[in-house]
Amino acid sequence: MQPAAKKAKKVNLKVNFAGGEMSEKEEKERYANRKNCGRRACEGLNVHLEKRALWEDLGTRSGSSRFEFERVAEVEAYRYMFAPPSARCSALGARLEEEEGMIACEGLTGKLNKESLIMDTGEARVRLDMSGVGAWSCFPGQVVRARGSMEEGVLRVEEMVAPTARAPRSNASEARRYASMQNHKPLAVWCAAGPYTTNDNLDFLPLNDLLEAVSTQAPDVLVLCGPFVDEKHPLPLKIGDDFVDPFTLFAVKVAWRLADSPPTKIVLVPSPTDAIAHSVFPQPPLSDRKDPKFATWDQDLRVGTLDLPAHVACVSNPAVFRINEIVVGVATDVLFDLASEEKSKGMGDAPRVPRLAGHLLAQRSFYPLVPAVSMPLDLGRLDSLRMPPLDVLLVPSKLAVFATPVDHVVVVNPGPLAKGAYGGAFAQLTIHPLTTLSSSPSEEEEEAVLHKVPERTRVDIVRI
Amino acid sequence: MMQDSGGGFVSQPSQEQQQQEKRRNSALVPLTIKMALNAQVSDDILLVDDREVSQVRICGNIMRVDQTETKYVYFIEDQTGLMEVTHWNNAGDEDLNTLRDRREKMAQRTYVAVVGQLKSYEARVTLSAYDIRPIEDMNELTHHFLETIYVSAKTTSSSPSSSSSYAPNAQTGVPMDGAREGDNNNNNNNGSLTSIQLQVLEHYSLHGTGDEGLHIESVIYALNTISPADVKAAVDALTNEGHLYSTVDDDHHKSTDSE
Repeated sequence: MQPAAKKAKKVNLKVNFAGGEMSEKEEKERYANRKNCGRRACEGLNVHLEKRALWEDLGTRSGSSRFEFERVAEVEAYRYMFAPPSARCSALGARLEEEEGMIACEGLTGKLNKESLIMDTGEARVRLDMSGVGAWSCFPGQVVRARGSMEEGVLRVEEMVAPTARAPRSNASEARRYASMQNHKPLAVWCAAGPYTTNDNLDFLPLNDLLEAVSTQAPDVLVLCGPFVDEKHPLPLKIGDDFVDPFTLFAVKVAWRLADSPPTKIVLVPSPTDAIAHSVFPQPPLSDRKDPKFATWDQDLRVGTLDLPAHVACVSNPAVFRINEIVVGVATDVLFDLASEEKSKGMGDAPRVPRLAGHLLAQRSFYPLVPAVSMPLDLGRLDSLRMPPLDVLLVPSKLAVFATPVDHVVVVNPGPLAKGAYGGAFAQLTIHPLTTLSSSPSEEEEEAVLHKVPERTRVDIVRI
Repeated sequence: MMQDSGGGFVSQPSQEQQQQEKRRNSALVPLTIKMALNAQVSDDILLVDDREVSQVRICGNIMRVDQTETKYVYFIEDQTGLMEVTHWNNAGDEDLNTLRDRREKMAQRTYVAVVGQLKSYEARVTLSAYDIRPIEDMNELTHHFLETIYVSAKTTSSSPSSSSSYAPNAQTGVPMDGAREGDNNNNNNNGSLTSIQLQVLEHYSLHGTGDEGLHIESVIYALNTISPADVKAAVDALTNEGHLYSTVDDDHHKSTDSE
């Protein structure tokens, strides 16, 4: 064989479906060679509002904080699989108030449809006939009130009422105090979700690029949702040539890189597919699981140590926290399960994903589905899934990215930061202070004011 | 950290189990002889209406009986074709008297119902009978052909994923649980989708069950009755509506509804 022919054969060409050809080298650097960096991944929200200025131009005295950060609701560490059936049953029953029932599917397996709708009131199960209702949207586990007439054990539904979401309020003087803390300038809150590394390496390049942007633009808060060490990552966990445990990988590739982020407040949220987190939903905050018996290759780093810098806050999944008056809820990935189970009729052209997010708000639950679909859900902990009134709901999901107002809440799906061998996206929220928009000087100082966050929040979802 | 091993309140069959189930599809399928003879053979699996069949039932008239020490071979005809049916002598495990009685009744020109396993040997499809019995009520013959039509129509019009759970109630042929109804009523449940969107979504639900889902070009290729621009628009709309999600890159999508 001619040497030239040999050489040509060695260049391993892989035909990609789109018609082009990619050499192995190019393919290895698909993330590095991306061309859509910084582009918008979706329309966003209120893009006419201004972005926050650079940190230096905010007029914040050094050392003083621009905001208060407070955990509102958090899941504590618990031992799972210890909830007896009676506890799980009563937890389900506790979701229902009088005259309420829970939507269920007649078959034990299979999806909901209009023939299999059943309402479980805790005492009885009634088949529902929805032919009299023009438009409906249901999923198993949904708590509703139905009104209609009973005929031969079937409830002919005339009207179906789902609960409604509540809006958070603050009193005016508090709101004014927060606005002056911010020097009447907006807050920048960024949110990204895992996986943070492409599936062809463990270099966490997208995370590096995100942290680079964080260090130059210094958002006030950076919410990082899991999975940090994705249990579905196809490669064996290695640093260099050494095999390592997930904790060590997290410490070296993630935690150490968060060290020089101040003034940005970093919040970490676990995910059920995280190799370093409690595997059952709801999840307590990430924490060390030290085992003094083992040392890693690095003598100073004990196995099971996350080695996070002190300024990083670990919250639970789901979690609710407050940034000044803004109440933020975050949960991963609940929207996807809802998308696979929700069935509707007659909803017209109304977009579906805001409706799904609306279900979370209306049900006042971070995971209203019963039975759970993809989540390993501990029913004994249903209490900690309760959703208080929110201003911002962060729901990182595999579904298409979006930022949309639902009722009085801004709902954002930043999408994963890495998608296969390519980069994903992350969300930048710019929340303007309350007073700049609602200037009503006649207002009583102690009167509770609505936050109206959808009117004063700009959301950009940007490709990494 | 394994999702499957989590709370354990709902046991969902793993993908492996589902695949095994598909392979061990033991539903008894009524067939005409022509359908049996025309079964497609791929990797030792026989496919009728694109569905794996192994246990089948046929009804027909005995044309000839060949009798040897070890087996009876019947040539059975049902006006659609002629087929060879082997019934082995399994001494000891049968009530020999009943068998002998039956066999005496099953001479030439008798209508019989055969339940057995369809096999392909050297490109020839044969039936190895578990049971052969004479038909006493000719309504059974009518019923058999009606059921054959029903099952075939049901299989070809609905998705293979629902047909794996098929197995009609033998007496009525009416589906038993909500799951299958759901698949058939999908159109009603996604009332706001256009027919092109439904077609595209169904293609993803049926064929894009792997981790990566399907590449958009493969969908355009498969759905050649729809223009590429329409397929792309449908995929965009379905993704925005949360029916599809992109997997490894922006060109691969998967249905959120697939199990």
